[in-house]
Amino acid sequence: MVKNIFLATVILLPMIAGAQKSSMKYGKIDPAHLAMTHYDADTSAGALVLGDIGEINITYDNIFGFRVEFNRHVRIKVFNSNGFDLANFKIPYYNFRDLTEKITKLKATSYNLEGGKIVETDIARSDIFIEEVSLKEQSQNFSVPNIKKGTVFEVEYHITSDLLWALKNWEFQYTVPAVFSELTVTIPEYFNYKTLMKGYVQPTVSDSKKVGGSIFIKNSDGSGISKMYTALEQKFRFENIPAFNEEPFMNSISNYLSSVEFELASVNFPYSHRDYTTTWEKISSDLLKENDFGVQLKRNCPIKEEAEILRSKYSDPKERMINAYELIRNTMIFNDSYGIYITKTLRKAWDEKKGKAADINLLLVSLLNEIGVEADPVLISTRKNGIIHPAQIMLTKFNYVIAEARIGDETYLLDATDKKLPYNMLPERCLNGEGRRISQTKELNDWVTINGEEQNERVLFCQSKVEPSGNIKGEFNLMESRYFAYERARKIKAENSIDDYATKYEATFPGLMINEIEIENLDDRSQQLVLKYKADYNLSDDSPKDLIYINPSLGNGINSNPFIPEKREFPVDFINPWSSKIINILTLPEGYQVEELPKNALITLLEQLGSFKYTIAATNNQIQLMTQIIIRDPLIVATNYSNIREFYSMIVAKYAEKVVLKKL
Amino acid sequence: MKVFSSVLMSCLLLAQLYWQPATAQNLSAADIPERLIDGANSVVRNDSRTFTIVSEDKMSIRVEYSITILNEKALPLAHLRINYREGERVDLNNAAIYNEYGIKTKTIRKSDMVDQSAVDNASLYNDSRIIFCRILPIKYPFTVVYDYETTYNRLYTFPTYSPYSSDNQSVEKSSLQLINHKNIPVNVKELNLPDNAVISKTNENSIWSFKNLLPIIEEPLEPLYTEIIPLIKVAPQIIQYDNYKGNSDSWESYGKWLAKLTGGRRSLSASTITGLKQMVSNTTSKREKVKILYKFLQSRTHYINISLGIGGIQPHRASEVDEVGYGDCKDLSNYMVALLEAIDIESFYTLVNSGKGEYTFISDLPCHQFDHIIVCVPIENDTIWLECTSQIMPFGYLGSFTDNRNVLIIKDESGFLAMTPEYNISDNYINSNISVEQNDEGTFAYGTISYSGLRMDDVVYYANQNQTDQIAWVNKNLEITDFSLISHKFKIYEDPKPSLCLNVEIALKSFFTGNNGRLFASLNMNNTISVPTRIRNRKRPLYIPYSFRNTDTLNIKLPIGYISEQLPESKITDERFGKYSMHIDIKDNVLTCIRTLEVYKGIHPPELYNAFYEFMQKSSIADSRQLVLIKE
Repeated sequence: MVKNIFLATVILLPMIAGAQKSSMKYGKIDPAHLAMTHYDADTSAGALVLGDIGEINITYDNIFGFRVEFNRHVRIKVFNSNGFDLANFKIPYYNFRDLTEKITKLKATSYNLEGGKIVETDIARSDIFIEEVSLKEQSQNFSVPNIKKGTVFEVEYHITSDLLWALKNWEFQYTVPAVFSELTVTIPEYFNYKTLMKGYVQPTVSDSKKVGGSIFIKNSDGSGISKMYTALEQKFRFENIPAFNEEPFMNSISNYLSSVEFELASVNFPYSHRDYTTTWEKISSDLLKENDFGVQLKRNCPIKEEAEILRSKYSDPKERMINAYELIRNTMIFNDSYGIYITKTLRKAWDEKKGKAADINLLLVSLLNEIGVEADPVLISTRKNGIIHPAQIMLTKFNYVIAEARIGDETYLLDATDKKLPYNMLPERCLNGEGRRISQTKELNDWVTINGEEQNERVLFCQSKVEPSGNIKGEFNLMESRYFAYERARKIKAENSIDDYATKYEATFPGLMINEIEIENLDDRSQQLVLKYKADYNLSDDSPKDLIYINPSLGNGINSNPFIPEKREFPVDFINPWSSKIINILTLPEGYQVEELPKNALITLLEQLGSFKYTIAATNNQIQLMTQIIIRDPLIVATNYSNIREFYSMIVAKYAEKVVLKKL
Repeated sequence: MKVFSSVLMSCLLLAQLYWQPATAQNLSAADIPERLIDGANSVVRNDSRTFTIVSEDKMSIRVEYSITILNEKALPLAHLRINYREGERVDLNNAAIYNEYGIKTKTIRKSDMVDQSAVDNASLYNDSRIIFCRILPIKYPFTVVYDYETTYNRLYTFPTYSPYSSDNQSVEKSSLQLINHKNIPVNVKELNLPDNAVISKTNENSIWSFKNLLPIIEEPLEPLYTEIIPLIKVAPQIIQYDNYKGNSDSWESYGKWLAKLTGGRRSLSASTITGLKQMVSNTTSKREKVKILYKFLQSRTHYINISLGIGGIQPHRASEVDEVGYGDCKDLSNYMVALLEAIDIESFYTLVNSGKGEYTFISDLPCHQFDHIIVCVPIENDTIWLECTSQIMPFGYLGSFTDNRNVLIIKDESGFLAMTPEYNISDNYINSNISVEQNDEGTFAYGTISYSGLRMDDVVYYANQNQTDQIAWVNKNLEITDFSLISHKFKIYEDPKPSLCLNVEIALKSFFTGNNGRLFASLNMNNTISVPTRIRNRKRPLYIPYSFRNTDTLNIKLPIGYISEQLPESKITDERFGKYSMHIDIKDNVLTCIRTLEVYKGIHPPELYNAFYEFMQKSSIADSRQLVLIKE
């Protein structure tokens, strides 16, 4: 522990900040900040961002042309050792061939109150390290010197960049609270950037105004003309920002962290024009013209022979589609790379039998078209990459491609990158809202809902016999579908053997000892995964008892509430609808009768979102239990959090109830 | 998969190499003997490693290696991964992939590899680099072959050799060759070598060869891997590292060399010394003085690793650390020694191999075997050990990271071995005292959970986080099925021994369940007993790494008009392993339940594993029996 807890997070990295007319002047420290011992709004915070000011300007000069100037000035108050890590900076920058970024004017200073005087410590040049991160990326690393409890420090730097197509993102939220965070972006009229604001915290100020500038356009003889232009200045300011904390059952934090991103949409110079993204229609038609996307689909399909076989072997189009899917899935090796463009050509990908998701799924589209099944690629953003907002027209938000096939009225979303999944299941990373279909047919360029509506199911069927000692012997059938099955199969395969899995499984139920175990359909996700086992629950010594207390679900229900925290800021995301059912038929020992039985119950979660049913009945020598939890809507908004918490509370209490048997 | 990294990478400073070379050999997977396949995910086909002592200031390591990957569990072992540091020379002679029939399908070229910085997250900057190539197989099994050589302009401890690099791995052929034409004196240590090892030794050339080693399958609660797998450690007695020359024929001389590296780096400015003297002027207690300066260190420094070249073993000057306020374990420990020196208290720079359980140390092999530095302050009957890289460690607490092991203390231009303290059964506990009360507003539980010894290790970290993180930890770690946290407070005690208290108050949804007349309640609200996994055919000894004793007290006011139908009292004793008991008293309608679990440290033969499993299983079942109440 000791060695790794220190530098776990280097926040505040990927930003740009500017020489700014702002309320913070470098070197002018408010003595009140030095005297501060805590932050009233969050008394346990290890540090406080007093201010973080960024400025992005696109400027023009006669030698270099247009460039991005970025300046950042951040000032932080440290309260205790939990805030020390904020003084560690790694500022990455791009540096490859003729596209470069350059860090200049780097300053870092700490201020400490010592004997009533402010002591300033500047960073020494020699304490700034340049790391060659990779061929294209470097990083300037340093730690602000002389950080202690009570220190105020500030860092300012400037980056000049040739990378006009994507301005750096700015995050307005930190692992500690912040007084304010502000970004001003000034962009000449020649450039048009799409702006994407995200997060749950709202800006205090967000406005824009026009400002002026000029460029000098040179002729070959050195003469030239000066041209005035207007620029758009956008300002975003957040104040009193709470610290950002992650919660369980949550989609990518990038969906919730307050930030702003920019993407170059078009460039419109006085004498030329290049449009980048502007409309979804335009994105589609551009992509279809791209060599590493649409052009590949217009070429001949590289999988000729196999396509011929599929055509002749399967006349039913759906069967043909499934077999085409399986051919690609079984042949192609996924190299774990995302992105919307293919590596080289589809032919090369097929020859090498490996590639990115885009290679594999565009190959699938190409093959499907070749065998007469209508298919198009669909661009998506994976769960970790964040949700797509259709109103924000930004191609760079997508990072993945899947395929869609259409047969009659049915559509099928396909991803051939995971050998453990059947045609009708996408990898979980893909289940993330909406995707964008890219098609030659204009009217098909539209949104596609990715999240499936089919539910994951689990059924545990037990036939068990109670012994006079209170111990139980039983036969169990656990059947699971879809992602439940996928997840269990993954865990089983991670073990050295099925017996090893059985001992791990045992350990999660007190007293359980599995004697025989059998697994069906371990590799076939188009089928239910079945776990059959014979087992004993050793809950007591062997002497016969006058009274026997039994949990009728044998501990297979939900035994503790997964939603213990009282409040939650972000939605609960189960990803898929699901249902889990337990049926237990308990045979009583001879000479015993039922003394006490739990009552039946039906609990609903917000009318339609979910439900829990508990029914139990006794006949002569048997007790029959049937319970079922259903979650119909997998996304539960934070305002309904108390409902789901209470729902689970009632389930846990119900599953804790006992059956009492009495000796006659 | 468990990669034996802690064993093989125990050498902090040298490139960590665990590949071997291949000579002309049939690489077809079908040629692997059947008994080597059983239980294996990978098979080392041929691993031939050559350690060469070139001269008094030069050494090299050649690795010729071929491995057959049988399934995807072993895929991480296929990737080419050469760690090195700037200034070391790596020559890659050959790298290729073969299919299951032993036919070469790809030659790995320079363009397939990346050569990049390997500065980890815990380091601000250092000179470690990695050459990496990810292997993406089309089909299993397949075989990867590598051959490369690394040359070092120094002479120092070689990385540990083992024929295994992972569990579930068998070894067809493996060998280590030590070439020493200059006849430089060398210390060699062999551990756990199998009977069929073939060894030939001369002064200039020694070879250890292994054949057909069966896979090691991980078992719970087993001895350290360093007590199981064959290991060879090679350490030249002459050291030449940058411009520092030394000798490691004994711990004294190795210590002397280290003393030279650290020597003269402890001076502090006159004003700093005056300040330190002032800080401790109000106390005469030596322990108190040490504590004041340790707190000073914690409040004004933080851990950052910056190490280049000899900086991997030599600390920065104390005066530099005094200026910037940061450094790594060497820098901060050296600084701590300097702080104490300024107030005339003697303390020692101490080398240790850190890590929870998974460390190795060969006490009769004087050489570099350490990856961390702490400080030892001798006080009569009460030596204090200081971990200097943490801002939150209680004074004098080492925890599982550095407890109970051999360390090398640097003293008076020399070195000697000593042991860090062991936490015993009365140190290691999680105890609780919780009361449950029902009133008109609901059911509430309040009380204290206290942690000490090795059982407070993980909690210390959270006790020092902000409220949000603390609350998240408490919500996650209270062993209660359903509750709302009302309040909590952590308190850390440093005297006489470090311990930690958590005061909590929670609202329970209900304490008693049942709505048909009887009331049921679980009495194990804390320290629920987890049972080790059952093993059908135990192969290796049972190893219980430390002793502990947990005691939990629960007080409940019983609802009026009820009497008990089942009191789950019990007592289970197995002298070899421990004791469990649950004792219940009812007085004035208040039930007091005291549960105790003791487990004893020890090593037992494999056949006793099941007896231990049964002891834990019985205790767990007894512990989960419920209190049952019925109307009078």
